[in-house]
Amino acid sequence: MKRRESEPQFTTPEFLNRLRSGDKEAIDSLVDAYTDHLLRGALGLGFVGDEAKDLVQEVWLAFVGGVSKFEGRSHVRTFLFGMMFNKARERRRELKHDANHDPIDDVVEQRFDLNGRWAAPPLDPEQFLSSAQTMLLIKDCIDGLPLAQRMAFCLREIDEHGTEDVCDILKVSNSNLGVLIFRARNRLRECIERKSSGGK
Amino acid sequence: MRSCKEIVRLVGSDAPLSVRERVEIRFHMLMCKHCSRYRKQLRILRESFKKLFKDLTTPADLDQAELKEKIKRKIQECSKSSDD
Repeated sequence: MKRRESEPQFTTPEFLNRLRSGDKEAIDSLVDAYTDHLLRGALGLGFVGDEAKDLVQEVWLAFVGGVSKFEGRSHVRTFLFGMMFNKARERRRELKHDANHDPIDDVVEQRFDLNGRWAAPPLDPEQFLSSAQTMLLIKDCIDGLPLAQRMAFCLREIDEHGTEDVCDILKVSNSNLGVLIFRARNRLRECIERKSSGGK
Repeated sequence: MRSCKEIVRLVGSDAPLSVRERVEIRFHMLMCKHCSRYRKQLRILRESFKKLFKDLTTPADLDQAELKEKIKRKIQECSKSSDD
């Protein structure tokens, strides 16, 4: 996987100037470099087939539409992913999640007693995910995540983006990112436990 | 001593850890079966997700080259129409 350090050619002032002036060659080189990344990101967010391609195309057109004002404060790739996250949210018509309260917090809370000891301990990992249906099961559970949690989890676990980038993409602070990831993991964990112990 | 609930929060949110916290976590895991299960579950989750993601994201290369060309064309069309 390419990391941002390997693409210094896209951060020079000269390149950014060409980009801002709408230079076709500069824009095309970005399309060549990042379309695959974006498409993978769209698929990771749960967009399927043509829907994913449409989303990627929409991101590029929006990017080019505003490129004259691109300041280059974030790396182009980070900026593109941020745009994709917003477009994805528009498409899903998902309102900005209330960051202060999430029902999963109560579920986690109930797993512990008043002294903070496990009241309902986790399943044995052997039972947790072992079958051939694992992939379907996990996919089902991921589809149940709010978009911001899904994006945070995907970007983090695939490990292609550093923490700083992920914060920049989602426009959250470091500690909020921690909250998103914690909620995503607990949602997934609870969902998988429920499903693998025969529930719905 | 930190409670299980606190340990789980440290382990589950990718918080940057101090040396002291790292030691506390390691020590806690030795004694607490439940928390080490929790951590193992997170590890399984990560690994399975990576595998799933790989399966999800291997569209034919040809397709992507096509997509790139299509996008470049669209971009040109759009910038032309805005020049007029």
